[in-house]
Amino acid sequence: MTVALLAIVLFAAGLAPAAGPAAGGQRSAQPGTLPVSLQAPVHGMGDTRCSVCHSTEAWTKVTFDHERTGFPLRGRHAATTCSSCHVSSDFRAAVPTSCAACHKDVHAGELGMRCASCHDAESWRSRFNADAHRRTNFPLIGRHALIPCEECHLNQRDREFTRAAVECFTCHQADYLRAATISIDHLAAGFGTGCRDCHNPWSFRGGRFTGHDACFQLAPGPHAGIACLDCHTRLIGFVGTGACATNTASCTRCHFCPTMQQRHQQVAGFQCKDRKCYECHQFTPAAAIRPGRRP
Amino acid sequence: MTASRPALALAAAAALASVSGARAGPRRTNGRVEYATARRLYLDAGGRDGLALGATLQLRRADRPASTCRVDTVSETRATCIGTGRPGDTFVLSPPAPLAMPGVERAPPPLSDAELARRQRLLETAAHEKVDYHGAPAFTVLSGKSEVRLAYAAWAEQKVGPWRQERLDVAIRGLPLGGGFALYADLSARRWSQRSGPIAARPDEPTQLYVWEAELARRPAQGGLALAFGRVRPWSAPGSSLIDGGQAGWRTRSNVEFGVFGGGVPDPGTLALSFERHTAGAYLAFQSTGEVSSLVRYARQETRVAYSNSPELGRRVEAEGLAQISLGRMLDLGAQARVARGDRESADYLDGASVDVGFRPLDRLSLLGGFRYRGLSVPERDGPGTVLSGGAARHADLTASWEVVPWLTVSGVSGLVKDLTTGVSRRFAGPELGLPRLFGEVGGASAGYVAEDGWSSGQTAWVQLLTHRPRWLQVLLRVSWFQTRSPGASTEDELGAYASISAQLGPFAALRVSALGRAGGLPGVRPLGGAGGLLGGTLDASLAGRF
Repeated sequence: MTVALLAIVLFAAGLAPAAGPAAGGQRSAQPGTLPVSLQAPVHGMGDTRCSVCHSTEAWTKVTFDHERTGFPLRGRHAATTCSSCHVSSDFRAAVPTSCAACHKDVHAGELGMRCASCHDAESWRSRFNADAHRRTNFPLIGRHALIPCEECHLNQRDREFTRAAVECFTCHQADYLRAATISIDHLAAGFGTGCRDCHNPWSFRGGRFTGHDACFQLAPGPHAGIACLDCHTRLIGFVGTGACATNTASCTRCHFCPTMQQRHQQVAGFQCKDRKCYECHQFTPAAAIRPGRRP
Repeated sequence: MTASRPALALAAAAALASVSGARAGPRRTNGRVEYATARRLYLDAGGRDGLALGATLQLRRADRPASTCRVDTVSETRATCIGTGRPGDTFVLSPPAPLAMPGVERAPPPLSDAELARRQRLLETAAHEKVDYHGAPAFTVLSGKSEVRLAYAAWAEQKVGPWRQERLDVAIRGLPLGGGFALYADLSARRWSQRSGPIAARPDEPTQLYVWEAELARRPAQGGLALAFGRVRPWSAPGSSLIDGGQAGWRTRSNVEFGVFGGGVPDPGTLALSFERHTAGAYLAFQSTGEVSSLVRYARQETRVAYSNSPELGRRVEAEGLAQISLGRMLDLGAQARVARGDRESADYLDGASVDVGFRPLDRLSLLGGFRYRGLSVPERDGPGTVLSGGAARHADLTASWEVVPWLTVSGVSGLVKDLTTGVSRRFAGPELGLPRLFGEVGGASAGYVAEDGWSSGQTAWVQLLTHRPRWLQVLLRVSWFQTRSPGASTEDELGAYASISAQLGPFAALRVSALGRAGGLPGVRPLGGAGGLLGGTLDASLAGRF
């Protein structure tokens, strides 16, 4: 493959076809327009019917159905002067339809030659948006679709959209560390750096901790999506040992004791204590509470 | 064709003669009253028969005088007369007065061939200056080469504060300044009036100025010395970065250009002037346009060889080539590659390569594909983490589009992206149906579906409407559904909506407003499903003027 690519470079360096006699020139390189006296006679070939395109009102008011050429003039092209593209004013000479033949490539050739993938004839402003980003290696899901491009594509200079790393941690390393001060010290708890294992791209809150289900089911049922600190009184300093013994879960924060005692009047040995709740209750995937195991 | 002209003229003359003869016929001597009212008589003769307005006619009945009348209206073949009479009364027609014919001036005999040749020689050798047409005087500032755009953008989401930005963009694309020099500029002044959450890009600078181009350049189309200096993005030097310096080259009449460039390279994040990074090199470029019937209708190639030095990549020598060729109307090929050697240890010297192909075997069938390899990874240091770096990656895509009938287009899109450093990859493929004339000239619709596989697998479906009538207004509306599978085998659904309105408000002003909305939610929560659902959106509005 490397040899093939080297061959491409060599081709680019000197093995191109000879210049045609009607070379159109680098239109974009033309700083001004030619005087009319140098332009007009070229396409006035004696048998030309000037009135087909021109009127007596002004030479510059030209009417011509450009759609017949296979290159309909849409958007900004409709307002462009003929001589901007037909530099020699010889309308019989071919004019390349490639964008780069007329327009300077601000991406310096690094993004390929299919400009229409991102741009249209209305404006050079890119049509590429969060929806189109789905066709890259990093689909913009959740909040990622709702932040400015430059928050990830930091290089403003080269307009090449340098690729930010795909892995979450490269951008969210600070969030990983910040969690130690507001919820769980991810590092001390031994959590990995695969953010998506637990978190949703809309919010770091309401993380799914799959290991939690071994102690108390969260994934299915009414507690899905609940924030850690809605149940746990504190998690700073928490270390996951798998022993289901953080001693910080507080069911009675939401499930008030007076109400619970009234509901459990028929349950022998009921105690309104946090740990006692989940000794009995389990939750079905259908999110319905069913009577748990009785001790 | 020339030989048949006299024959055609003779035939036309004969036809005219016959028509004229038919009209004339034998001359009439008497006219007749066809109809009579109490005061007016309607006659069967007119001006062609010699009746004149105001003439008095003697009417005869049974070969005896009956009464008189005065002609009050005359057409070519009919007339009316004021007086009394009866249908059937006759009157004598006098011959019409002959028309006064202008005297015919005989043309001089044609000039002799020798005299014509002498005059032609005189005309050909005479020095005369052609006259340029100058239309109505216009303000020179209205050259259409400058564009100023005022823009406002906002990003917002439930539970997280918004981001707001006001922006002024200015672009000048070749404003003539005299001496063959023209001004090129491309800059943007931005003010973040509000930013929320962790900020990656220039967090301490809410006001930012980016200058991508500010150069005085001379690039004669007819060949000659090409010069540019200032903040320059070197032309015809593929892969070159911005430089604060200059470019000088020579351009031949056959569109070959070669030259050198060099200067400091601005900071990648702020574009601030800096000579900590610098580059210098040479370039060679060529462009050719063929005849309509020729095989090679367009060819372009550009080559750059440069030395560069930067804190990120160290000292390097780079070579980059770019080539593009159009063969007939059927095949477009493009390729680009960059190789480099530096003082930093690197196993690979290939920075990047790409190939683009456009193939139209039939007028209604097109295939567009591309392959891109990126081996160079440039660390970006001011991100929220310590370093943002994508690493090596490759990307390939292929789109096939078939216009079954003018109102129906069937397309297939597919792609593959792989991060070679981590092995993380995604693949996608799906169909798209286009009905470009669903609403006639007003616009059309399209719908598509894409199945996605890889580290972030899922599926996407969308419906889109596009209108472009009236001509000055273009409206695009799209509704999308996204489903992404999480590592825990659960799925996350999102709904998306996008609207874009572009209006050309006149020859010099354009308005564009686009808005994007997304609805999602916490795991297990449906979009727009109440508690746990989240909404967000972006707005981008700009008013641009061309001068």
